[in-house]
Amino acid sequence: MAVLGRLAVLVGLVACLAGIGTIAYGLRRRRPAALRSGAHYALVALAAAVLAVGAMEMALLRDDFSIAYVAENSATSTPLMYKIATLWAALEGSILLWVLVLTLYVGGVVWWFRRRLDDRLVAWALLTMLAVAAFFFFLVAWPADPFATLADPPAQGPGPNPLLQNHPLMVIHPVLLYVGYVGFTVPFAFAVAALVTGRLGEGWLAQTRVWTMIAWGSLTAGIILGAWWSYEVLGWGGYWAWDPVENASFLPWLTGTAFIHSVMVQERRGMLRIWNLSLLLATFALTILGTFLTRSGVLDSVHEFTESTIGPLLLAFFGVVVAVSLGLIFWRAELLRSPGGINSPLSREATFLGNNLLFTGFAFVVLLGTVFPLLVEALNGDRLAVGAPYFDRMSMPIGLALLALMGLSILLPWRSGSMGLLRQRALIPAWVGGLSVLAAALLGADGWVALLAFGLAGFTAAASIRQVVRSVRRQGLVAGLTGRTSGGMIVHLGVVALAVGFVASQSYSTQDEVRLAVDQSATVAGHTVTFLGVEESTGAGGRQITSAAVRLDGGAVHHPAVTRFPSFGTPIGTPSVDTSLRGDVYMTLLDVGSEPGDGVLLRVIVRPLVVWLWIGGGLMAVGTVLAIVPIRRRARDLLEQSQGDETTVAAAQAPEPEAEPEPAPVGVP
Amino acid sequence: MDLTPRTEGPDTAEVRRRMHPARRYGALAVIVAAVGIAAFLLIRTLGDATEFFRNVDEAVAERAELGDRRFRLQGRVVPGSVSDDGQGTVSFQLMFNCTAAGVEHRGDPPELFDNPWIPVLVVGAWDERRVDLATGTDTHVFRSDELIVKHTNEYEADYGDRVASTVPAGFFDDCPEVGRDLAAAP
Repeated sequence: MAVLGRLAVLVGLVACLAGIGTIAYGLRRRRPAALRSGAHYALVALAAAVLAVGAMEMALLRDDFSIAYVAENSATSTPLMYKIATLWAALEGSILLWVLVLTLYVGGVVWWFRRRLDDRLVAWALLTMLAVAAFFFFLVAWPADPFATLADPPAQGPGPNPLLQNHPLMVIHPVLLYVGYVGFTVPFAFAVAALVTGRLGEGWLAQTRVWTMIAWGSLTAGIILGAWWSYEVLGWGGYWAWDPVENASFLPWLTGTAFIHSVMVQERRGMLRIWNLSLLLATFALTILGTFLTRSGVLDSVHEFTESTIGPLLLAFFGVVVAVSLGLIFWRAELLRSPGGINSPLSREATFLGNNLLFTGFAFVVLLGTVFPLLVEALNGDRLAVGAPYFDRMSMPIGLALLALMGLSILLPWRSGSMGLLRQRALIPAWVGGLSVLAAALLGADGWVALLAFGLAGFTAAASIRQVVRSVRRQGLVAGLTGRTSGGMIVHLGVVALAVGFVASQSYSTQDEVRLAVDQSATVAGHTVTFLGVEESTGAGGRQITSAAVRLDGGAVHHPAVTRFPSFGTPIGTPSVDTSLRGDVYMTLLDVGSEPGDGVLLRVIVRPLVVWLWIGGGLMAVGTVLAIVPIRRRARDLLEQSQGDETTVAAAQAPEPEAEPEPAPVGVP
Repeated sequence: MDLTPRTEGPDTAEVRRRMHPARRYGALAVIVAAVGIAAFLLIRTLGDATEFFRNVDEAVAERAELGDRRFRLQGRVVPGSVSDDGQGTVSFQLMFNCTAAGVEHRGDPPELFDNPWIPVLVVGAWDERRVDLATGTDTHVFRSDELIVKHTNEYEADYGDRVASTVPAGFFDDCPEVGRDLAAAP
């Protein structure tokens, strides 16, 4: 398997380099046949990546401990599902997964543009994607080789880190994060292609929108599922700790979210071109920076303590990406001038600009907090960490302002609105917002920040629902619920649910630690927990589980537990969570007395409305799908629009001697 | 879909020209003020929320300087030093570079510390209280409420004992007598 895997990796690397060379030759000599055959190398690279991942999975499933990665991260007793997931349990395997996802995207782009492979814009985009793929193939070929073998293979391995084999979400969440992270390579590649060819109209944006949305939606789902995993598994009762790994995934999400809003301003008005390109390039660069921060070992994190040799290479690659991006933007600055300006602050584009400033400001705040320890250590050698209070305090006003702008932007028209129009459209949402504050206060909520958040949430939810209702009335149920606008509104409703869940669960949680003997009860925030006894059992893979049977409110029996994995001494707490729409009761087993009469020490946390975080995440995923579902219709519409755009822009800016002429699009499948 | 051509609007320079100078400078002043306030808040919040990392030996040497400031203490749990008061507080000793410190940690299961020499990072502050340690006595104990356990992925052939044997080579080079004493302890 090691030979097969290594061979596949080398074939993939060679295919990428051959593809780059062939496309470069085709572009230079203007040979369409070379451009088309260059794309075929991308498919060879995809096949090689599938083969390499297949070889690794086979090695994991067959417990082939002659491969060091398998010996270090798997065990014969590891359950099947987690054996498969061991591929991304450590550095080398996760980079191999990155290669697979990236080549799948490259293959997808080749198929999507199969009738336009000789288009220079598509060719440059493919060349860029193949260059990125070549870098990652190189990483798994040498510095992060997952197929390195052991001269003296052990008979057994330790298995994956216990935290990675304690919940099914760990199987899904990293894959979704990778699909999101890596997916931003596609719009990045097209942005580079647009800059190189000088075809800077809105055509390339239209052609990559689906890919951007897939990346954004996957990243969103990956982040939310990661938070859910943290909540369900780690036993601390929280879901977001501003850990460097969390921040690394959040940063491209912030700039990506800013982009999917501001791109609408460019599509409608032709404005913000430099801004949009910068956001896209920054989003991709942040995925590389995030990988460097979390995979190089420069920052301590609860997720990863890896110290690896790929750190300097990732940092160098990040430097190249930034340098190329900035260089291209400066080179094409003249062509990127906006043909118009924002006419009125009471317009949708003005609120989008506001939300963009907030999103990028937020990204700056998170980036600064994440890399500040590195900067300080580099400057004066002091080692420090930035605690959660920094992120919490800074994100609160930004979050509130974003919530407000989210509602306002829906109510304002493009180009120019008026106070009268805003008053008329905001009437019902404002009433809903006011009533939300009143209802929250009557239910016992206090604190101006939380009440303001509930009010803004009500306002934005009403504004979003108003938009969906108008759309359904105009176009019918199916057409009215699909497409960018309605899909976007469903995403906004998801954000509102998430915001309410976040504010309520952060502001009104109650926590207590209680020591209980058998049949003894305690009450925490109105919930009664009764300890029934301790149970010992052996789970999959020989794990020893010590659980406490706890009856909640005289009803269901829960089993918060501590699990010991055979090859890891550190026990892993497994909380038990009673979930309802009103709130969760979260129970963690802290201590089991050594004598039978000692009882147990339980931590009980009552968190209101926390389930709305996950419902909100689900709504965001559904909204994203609805926004991209009518792909063919939307793509055709956008392409038709982009043809007009190119003409209009070309007319406005002619002559553009450096820019290549835009050929008539052959069509999008 | 709105397919209105997008060149009908006034260009940016035209918009700027039409704006009254007083309004233009007013807008500029608002932007500068907003950026200034944001930068001030950013720097101040960052200053308040930073926590220093110290290895045990550094934290002990700089105790006067650190005072009651919250910081992150890093070291390895001394085997046999873990005790539990049954009310959620676990006491143990951390060691690094031959210096030990007493820690009283609240909020995590005591089993977490059962692994000899497991590397951990605790967050808290010094508190004045006499404590007996493997290396002598100390006048302060570190009270922590947050813990990060470093899960190592290093593989050892005899994996059943791998956690118990993770004392890195050279850990007792500067204090072989402490290593001997601890090895002899039950």
